[in-house]
Order: sequence, then structure tokens, then C-alpha cells
Amino acid sequence: MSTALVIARNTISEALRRKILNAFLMVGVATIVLTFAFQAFQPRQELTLIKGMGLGIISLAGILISVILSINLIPNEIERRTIYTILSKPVRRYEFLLGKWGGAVGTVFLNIALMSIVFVIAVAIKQQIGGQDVDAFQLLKGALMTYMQLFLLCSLAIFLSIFTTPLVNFFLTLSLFVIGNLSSFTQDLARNSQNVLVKYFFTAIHYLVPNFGNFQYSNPLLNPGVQVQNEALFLIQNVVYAVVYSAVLIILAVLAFDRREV
Amino acid sequence: MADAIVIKNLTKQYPVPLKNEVVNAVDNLSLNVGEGEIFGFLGANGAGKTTTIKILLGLIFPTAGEASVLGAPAGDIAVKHKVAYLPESPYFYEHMTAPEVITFYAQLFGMHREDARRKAAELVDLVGLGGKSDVNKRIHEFSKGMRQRVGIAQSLINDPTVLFYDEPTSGLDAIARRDIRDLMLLLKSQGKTMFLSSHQLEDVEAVCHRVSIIHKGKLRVLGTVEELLAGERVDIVATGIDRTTGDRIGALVPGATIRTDGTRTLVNMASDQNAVWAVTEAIRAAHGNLVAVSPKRRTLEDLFVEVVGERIIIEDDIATTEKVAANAAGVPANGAAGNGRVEKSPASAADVPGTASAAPSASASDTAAPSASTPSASAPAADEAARTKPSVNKYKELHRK
Repeated sequence: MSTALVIARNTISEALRRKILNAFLMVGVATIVLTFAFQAFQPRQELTLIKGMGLGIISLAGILISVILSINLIPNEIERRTIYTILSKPVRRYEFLLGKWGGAVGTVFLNIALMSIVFVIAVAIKQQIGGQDVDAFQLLKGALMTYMQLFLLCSLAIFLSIFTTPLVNFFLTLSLFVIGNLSSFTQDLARNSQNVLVKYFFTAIHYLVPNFGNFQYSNPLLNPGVQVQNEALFLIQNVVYAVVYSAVLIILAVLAFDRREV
Repeated sequence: MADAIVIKNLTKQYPVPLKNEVVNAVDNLSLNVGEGEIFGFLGANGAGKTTTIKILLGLIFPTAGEASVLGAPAGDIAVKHKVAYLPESPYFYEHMTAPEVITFYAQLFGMHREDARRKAAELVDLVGLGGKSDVNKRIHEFSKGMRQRVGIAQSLINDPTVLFYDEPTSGLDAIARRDIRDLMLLLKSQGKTMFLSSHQLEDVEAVCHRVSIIHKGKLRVLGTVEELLAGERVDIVATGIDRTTGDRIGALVPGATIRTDGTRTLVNMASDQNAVWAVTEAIRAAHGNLVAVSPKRRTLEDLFVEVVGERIIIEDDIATTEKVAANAAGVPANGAAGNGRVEKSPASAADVPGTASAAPSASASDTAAPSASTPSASAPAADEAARTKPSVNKYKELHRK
């Protein structure tokens, strides 16, 4: 397992040097800071706007970083032939894959953490100025849900990268992300359809495609009146869901990668 | 001597896209490499060399047959602790410096970070990248030769028992090439097993105990360097003889190659004292001038070209391309010379009528004996050690520690 950690650390250090990922991160951070420029609204409206925009920016930048990073990790190693010198060392294929996956989720964690810190500080300053209570902990829960969503997204993209080219994977992963965000819609279609085939089709989609919509936590953050019933259970369920679903995807990826020629 | 590498009936097929066909990258290949042996694995581009090495390392899987390294199936993790691989044109993480790359690879062997760093510093120094300016350079700033040096360094991290080197001197300048060759000679003297694929035939000839040549995935030649290069030839140069005399010489010495270039006639033939005498007599009888009689040592390049090559033969200013047949006079056929084994390519003699006895006329002039700086394969270990460069001495010290 220490081999996987070495590979993960190396993947993170490589990813943090990638210009395109840093560009997304910088744009994300800059946009969160720029939300200070909104002064045409009432303080409460302004705060809601900052929170909404901040979470949206973290999510959007995170999605782009996760997808672009994850779809390229394995194909790049094969294309650049760096995998030859690694797999000729005493490195098991699953250790290599776990290392790459660990590097991806680690990189995304660092990016989300950085944007979240800036976001929480920005909101806290606004709340202090407006004489309101600082709800940093609530904001961090929102960031955690965003991260778990991206954690699952990384796993999905890495799983698909074993079978597809990066270009196909880019569109496939984003499509599945959109479909996964519409899980309640696909569930309704499955329930209400009269056609048996359509019913089974949407049922299959609902259960097979990761339910990315579950991780939405912006409503209670933006509307102080809205409370999530049994919030602790909601958060734990989502974390467990992301971890278990990712584990299944990575196990499948390991099985497929074990016999893949490089 | 136990076998370090065993390949039995190895076949690797790839499907041809959009066709119901397969192409044999490796075709029923069988060979053994003994422990402590430096084994040259030669072949033209696309012959199946790298595919075979990748199978031996477990990077790809055979369609049929078996391959084992140090007694374990190819790709076994325990064996990889004792194995090193230098791919052709090695690629590394571009954002790293050479010491960082080596540290990373050392950690893959389970070394602690500090030990790995120390090892990396030693190896980077060994391959000549320990200078201040090189140590801080990122790989993307490296030349091809510098990358190759990093590749060599990463292959020595674990003090391997078996080394797979795929074109180790590719892209290197003459000095660097000599350094690497000296390092290979040192590894040889240390009893390492090396599976060496290279197009630098001089290096192979100098370093290897045995050599094989594969062509289109099939084994064509296998034997010791001495066996394969046995059968000296002689060049006889004369002036002032006509074509009739040339024909007469041809009749006197079957298998001789006669090439006329203006007023000069070159006869290339097997080194047989009586035959040489008969040819010189024929030249004298025709009132020709005998310019030179010089023995020519056969080289691996001659053999390689004979087995797999196509070359342009220039005779009387007319250039023709023809496949070169296995040279019957020089190549020990089908195990005739000890263990040396030559399997004639079906695409050589049989494909080109008339070429089986007509050895390539250009070969004699092209095959200069190796220069004095090229050590023979049987040079004693003491000679090899004496030729090592400072970097090689560093390697010795490194492994003495």
C-alpha cells in the first residue's frame, strides 16, 4: 500500500503543476473574492448571492478540475510510456491504479479546500461587517458535500478511462454527471411511464448512474429557514454512498486494468 | 549455468483493425538466457524485440507460449525486485528533476524517502548528471541523451540481477555511448544477466556472449558471437584483368563475389589458402596486377544484413536493390558450427533466384574489421575493467557500499 501512496503523492505533485488545473483554481478563487464587489443589494440578499455564487464556483471549478484530471491520468501514463518504468518495478497494477485514483481525489481535495477556505473567509468577513453570526461550520458542510460529489465523479472518470479515450471519456463523464444530477427526474419517468421498456430503461439509469443530485446542500445554506431533517444522517449517508460507489467503481477498474495491455 | 530467462514457443498476435486477420508480432519464439549471460537480442524495427521484452516484464500478455524470468512466470512481483528495465527512449515525469525521478523510483522498491534520496544522489552522479546545473533542471529541459542517462540510473536502483535494456545507447553521442558500453561491460564482469536489444551492433558484438536475430517475430539466428562470426573471408584486389578472367576466377572459386569497379576488380571469398593461391595465379596468368590480399573479419553487421536486410549493390555504376541471401560461405548453417543456429529467412534466398550463391558484392567493402578501440567479445575481464571510465568506477564503489 505504501507504493500506492508514493504514486498518489507523485500524482498530486504532478497535478498541482498542471497549468490548466491551476487556471481553474485561480479563476475560482478570484471569482469568490470578486463577489465582494456586489454592493447594490441589501446585506442579506448580498450574503445569499455570495454564498450561492461561491458554492457554484467551487462546484463548477471542481467539476472541471476533477474531470480533466481524472480522464487523463491513466491514458497519459500509457501514451507517455511512463507506465513502463513504473510497472516494471515491483508495483502491482492495483497499487498503480489506487495510487492514481488517490492522487486524483487528493488533488481535488486540496483544490476544494483552498477554494472553501477563501469562500468561508469571504462570507465570514461579510457577516462580520453586517453584524450577523458567522456560520462557517455550515459552509464547510456544503463544501464537504461538494467534495464528496467530486470524489465520486473522479472515481467514475477513472473507471471509464480504462475503456475509453480521454475525449470520449470527457463527454461521457459529463453526460453521466448531468444525468446523475437529474436522478429525481429519471425516477419520476420510471415511475410514471406506461411503457414497460421505458420504465425499465429509466429505472436502470436511476440505479446505475451515480446519484450526484443527492449531494445538493445549497438550499439550507442559502435559506436560513430551510432545515434538513436529521442533518447528520443526511451527511453520513452521502459520504458513505460516495465511498461505497467509488469503491465498487475502482474495484471494477482494477479488474479491467489487471488484464489490460500497456 | 541455470537459466535466468526461459522463453518457450512464445507467440503474440495482434488483430488487424477492421479485418478478420491477426498479425504475429512474435511467432513461436523459444530461447533461453543463462544466469550471468549478456544476451544480444537483435532484429530490424518491428521485428518483435520490444514486444518480447514487454511480455517478459508482464506489461503485455502472450497469445500462446510461456515466458519466465528467474524461475517465475513473467511479471511476477517478487522477481521484479531483482529486475531492471530500460525502455527505448525512456520517458519520465517532465516536472521532476533527475534526483526526484530516481527518488520516486527508489521508493517504488520500498526504500524510505531519505535512503531513496541518498541513492538517487549517488546514481545521478554516476550517470554524469550530478553537476549543479543538471541537478536542478527539470526533465522537460533535458536532451535525449540526458533522459537516457536518467533511464540508466533508474535501472540500477535495485542492484538488479537481470537487466532488460532496450536500445540503451539510442540517442547518445559517441562519448556517452562509450560510457554506457563500459558500464555494460562492468555489469557483465559482475555476473549480471542482461537481455540487450540494440541497433548498435558494434556494442552488441563487444558486450554479448550470445546473440540472436529475430525477423518478423521468428528466431532466425542464435549462437555465441564467436560461432556466428566464424569463417574469415579474404579480399583480393587486382587491376588490369578483363571480364573473362573474372569469370574464370568465378569458376575456380564457387561462392566468391567478384566486383568490377572501373579498372579495379575485387574478389571477396572464403579464407581458403588453396583457393587464394589459385586466384592469385589466375591474376598473374592474365598479366594483371595484384594490388592487395587482405583478410576480413566478419562482423555482426554482416550477419544482421544477411539475415534481415535489404541493401543496394552497386556494380558497374548500375544500382539494383535485391534481398541479400544468407551467405552460405560465411554463416554456419543449421547448427553446423557448435551451438550456433541459423534459420534462413524464406524471404531471402528462395525469393530471389540466383542470389543464394551470389553473396553481396558490397559486403566486403562495407565490412571493415572493428577498430582497435572495440574490444572483442572474448576480451578478458581485466581488460574490460581497465577500460572503465570514472563513472563506472563510481558504480563499483556504489555497490561495494
